[in-house]
Amino acid sequence: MPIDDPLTQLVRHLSQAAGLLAYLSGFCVFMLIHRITKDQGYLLLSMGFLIHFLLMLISYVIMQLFNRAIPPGIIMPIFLYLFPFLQVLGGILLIAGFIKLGMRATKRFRRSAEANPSPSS
Amino acid sequence: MSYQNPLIELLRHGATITGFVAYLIGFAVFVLVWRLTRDRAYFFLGLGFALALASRSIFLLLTLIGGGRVSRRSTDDLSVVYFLLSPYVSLICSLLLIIGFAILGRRAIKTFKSPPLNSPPPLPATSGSEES
Repeated sequence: MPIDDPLTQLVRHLSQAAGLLAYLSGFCVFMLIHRITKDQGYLLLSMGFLIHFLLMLISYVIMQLFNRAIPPGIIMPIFLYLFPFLQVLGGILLIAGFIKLGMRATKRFRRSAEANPSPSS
Repeated sequence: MSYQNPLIELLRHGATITGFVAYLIGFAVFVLVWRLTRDRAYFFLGLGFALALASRSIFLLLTLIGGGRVSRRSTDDLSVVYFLLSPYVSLICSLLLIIGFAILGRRAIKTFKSPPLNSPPPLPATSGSEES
């Protein structure tokens, strides 16, 4: 099956590394913007990205260590319960942060539209 | 310990749904901010989120078709194509997000380093007290 050929394996590893880097850079950038603007929305976003980064890193390391066959023991409950719970938490943080940013952007968008009405209207 | 209990299923579905909604709202917000500012950083971020959203939508569709389960061993055509293309798609989305965050981060670092506009000017050195 072509799914397991070496090129696809390489691309899968590369995409996981790039995903980790994207989450980490998201965390760093939003934390930096939060430090500059003191805005809570960016803090929520940075925490959401941090949780997703840590989850992705830990699951990648565990998968590599145990060769995709997680032994039943202490790691299995963590995988089954804690990981989906933290994924939900990270998702909720991202949603809250994006809603906060989106509401402000909508207000600015409306204000600029009112200030510069289009000639057709 | 049972690995197939309702709590695990609920958490797993919750994770899928919150991830999907986060991508959807992220895409909408970044497109809105890009329309507002015409900043290419938000364009790359919006495009990255759009690709991730499309990939996740197909995954959700496959999950619905497969009765709640989808795996790499699935033999139907759509699953095979999805699992063949998904590493490439996720690599492209991650690269787009990295580019967007790099542009935003560079600008944020510049802002962070430059002194704020309303800060008082530095005081001149007083000659009498320091040269004693």
